Amino acid sequence: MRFRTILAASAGALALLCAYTAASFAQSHPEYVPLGRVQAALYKPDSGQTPHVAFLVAHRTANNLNNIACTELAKRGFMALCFNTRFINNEAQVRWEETPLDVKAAVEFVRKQPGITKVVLLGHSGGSPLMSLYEAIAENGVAYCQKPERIVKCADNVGGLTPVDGIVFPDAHPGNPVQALRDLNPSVVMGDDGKITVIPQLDPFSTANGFNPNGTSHYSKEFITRYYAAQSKAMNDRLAKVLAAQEQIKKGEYRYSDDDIVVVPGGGNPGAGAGGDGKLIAMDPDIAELMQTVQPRKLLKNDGTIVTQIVKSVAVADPENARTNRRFDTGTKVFTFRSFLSANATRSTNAMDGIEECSSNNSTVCAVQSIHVPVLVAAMGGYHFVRDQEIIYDKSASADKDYVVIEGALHGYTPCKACEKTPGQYANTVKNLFDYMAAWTNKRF
Amino acid sequence: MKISRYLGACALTLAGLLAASPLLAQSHPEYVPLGRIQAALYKPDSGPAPHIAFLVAHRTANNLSTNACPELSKRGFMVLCFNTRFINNETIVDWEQTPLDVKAAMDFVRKQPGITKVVLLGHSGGSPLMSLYQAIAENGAGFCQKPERMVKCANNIGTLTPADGLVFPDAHPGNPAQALRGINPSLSIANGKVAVDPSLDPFDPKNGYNPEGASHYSKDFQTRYYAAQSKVMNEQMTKVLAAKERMSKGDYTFPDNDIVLVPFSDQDGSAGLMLMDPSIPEFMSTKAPRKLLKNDGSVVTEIVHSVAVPELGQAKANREFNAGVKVLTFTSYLSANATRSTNSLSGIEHCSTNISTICNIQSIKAPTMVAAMGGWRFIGDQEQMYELSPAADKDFVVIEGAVHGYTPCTKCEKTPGQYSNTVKNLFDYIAAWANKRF
Repeated sequence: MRFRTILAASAGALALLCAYTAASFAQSHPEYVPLGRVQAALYKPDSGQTPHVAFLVAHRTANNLNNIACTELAKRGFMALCFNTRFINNEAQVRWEETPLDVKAAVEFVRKQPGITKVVLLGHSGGSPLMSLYEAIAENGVAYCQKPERIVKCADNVGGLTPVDGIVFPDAHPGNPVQALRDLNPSVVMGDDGKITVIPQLDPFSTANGFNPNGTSHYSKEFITRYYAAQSKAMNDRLAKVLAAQEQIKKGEYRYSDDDIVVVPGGGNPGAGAGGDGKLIAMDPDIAELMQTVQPRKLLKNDGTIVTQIVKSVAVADPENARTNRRFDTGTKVFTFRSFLSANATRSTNAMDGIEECSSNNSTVCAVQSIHVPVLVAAMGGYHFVRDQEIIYDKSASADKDYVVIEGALHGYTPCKACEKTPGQYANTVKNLFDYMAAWTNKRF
Repeated sequence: MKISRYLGACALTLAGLLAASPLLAQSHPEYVPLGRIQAALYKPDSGPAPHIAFLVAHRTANNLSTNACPELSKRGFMVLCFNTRFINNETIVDWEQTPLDVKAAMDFVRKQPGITKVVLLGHSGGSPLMSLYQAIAENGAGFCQKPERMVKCANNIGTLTPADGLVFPDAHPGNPAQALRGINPSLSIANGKVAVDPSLDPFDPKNGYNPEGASHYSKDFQTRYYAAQSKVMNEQMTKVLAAKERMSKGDYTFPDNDIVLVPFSDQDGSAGLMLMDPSIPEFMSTKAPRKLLKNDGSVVTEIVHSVAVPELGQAKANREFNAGVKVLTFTSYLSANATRSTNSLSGIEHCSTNISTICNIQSIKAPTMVAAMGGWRFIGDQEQMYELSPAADKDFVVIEGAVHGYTPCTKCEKTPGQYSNTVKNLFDYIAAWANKRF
């Protein structure tokens, strides 16, 4: 629960921002804009033409008021409204089905800005299920988030959303429930007495199972299969318990009348983003099913050229998870029944390809299947979502869709220095990403 | 844990802001990122460049648009309103880190052209925040490392630049005191079920509870209740400290921290007796005659009683998880939500924690102004702060009919509009106080 973990998903972006702040801040003096329960910062170009395209940038819980995208987009001639939802900095508090109301407040604000004729949603990391849910509801009505297969359904108050003109997904992820599932270390079991035991045959941090504390782990196919199934079993068991407790609440037989805590030891970083988890690809980046594309795809190389090939992530292993996963502050997720069910649980049979994506409203993979506006998916080539985003691209219902991988970029768009074989090998990731995004946008809007 | 709960202390402040939205048209605050804190800089849109800057913040509530920001900038001041690193999350608070966030704000405004004086504004949870900063700034890190503190600050606090003055519009005594007074000591959980001790039940008519109006608890009940609240907190504290001991020996579930749930106590589900019974004089009245700033702008000196009305929803909210249960960790519990005490009224060892306005203020010499809201529940506490303040230049005033967020207590009014000027009266008073000194 350390604060620093809370911003983990965008740590790279923030780090880069610090480097950029002095220069970019001198260019742009963003205005603070309170929008009800949303806090926003409005970035505009300091010179040049008045923008007619506005980007919206946000995350479910991470601070996005000074996300790197705000200044990078404003520098390229766009308006950017960067905002924090009502659930800023607090995963336990999330009521996922309320988040479209926060995006709505932002969309309505930028639609009213003089000169703005087009609005593009930017969904990065946890921002990808956020923005895609908004647009899926906007295009299809509230019925989209009330389908029978959803564990939690939205209320009617999220109706009447105005669709946007396009969506960009720089390093989207499949959805928080999928992330929570794959992060889960299923070998960690807490008994009723509060004591933790570890199931040796499922322990991802055991060298007997392929773990390498000093470098890249190599898990066997057999272990991987067993592990993914065990992750699903652990989540399904927890899901069943929570749903049963909710039934007790309804009957007035539970200790509280409304909600309760859900503690997930070994579940990973309790804040936004990765870290402290039992996700196998964090230790073994060679797992092809998640770390490379199935088809030849566009790779935007550091020198700005584009090649088409099977793209494999250059991410390096993080054996540190063996330590952080077993700690409370860095490896234990803390939810309530509501935040668990609405934003952190999915039905599945295994954590790889057995996920019922549409069992949750927090699913980029589910939402893009109902979105028809132009979509750009840009995976970071030094991170973990190359294959997930190929799936997002493949499943997108849009007639105008694009997929590109930014060579050597981390989740927060900055260069993966640990991945470099020669210094500066991936030095241009930020420029390449935002130049590509700007060109994509200007071509369409 | 309800979202509304997180803004609880300043909910009314925000509500006030919505009413004050035309002010935003006057001021276009600039968003200023300062490392781990987020800030909005408000300046007057016209008139002379300000030489006084106010800093406005709360431990966890969003303060980027609290009504103090436009109200003060309208009156000619620069205002830096900021959110700490712990915004919107009580669970992750590591209280002794918070002076670093105030420091970042202080260092920023001190560098603004024309600024020669800085005043800290500590409202509600902002009062222990600002007072801790100033107490360390005036006395060094030794202040927050005293032996009696359950948690001591680290040396990374370093040297802090003192402010020139502090204003406390509806300060509270400190979060641990608030947490203690919120506990319902009649309830406990055994084997997953809630057990009730009827002799301590604040929601039992036999003990003076009135579900439809003001409750009246006997002196005897109050005394037993306050002692029982301390017993509940002391026992939980003992358990947490024992678990920490086991942890230090490697004999605990986790090597670093763990969850702490404090049921039947959280702010919106508080079982503080004064919520149901606003006649309890120790909280709701001054002991000595004090200045009352009346709605018409005149000031009278008298024994001041709060005009607050009883809260009727506590019996239900206290039993809920989202309204009634504090979700903390060993760290946030010990650093920001626990205090040693023998009873919750007069038996609190305020200096057992660094998150105590009452303790901190005793080490602050800069000019201090305390302004209690006269339609709320901290009149007695703030009179005590005023009395304990060693500042040679100190002031105490009660704003007639104001609720915690400075806006009018319309429920308290006997005639419509009776307290309509609370916001204007408060900020005019603060402005005059600041301009007179600085």
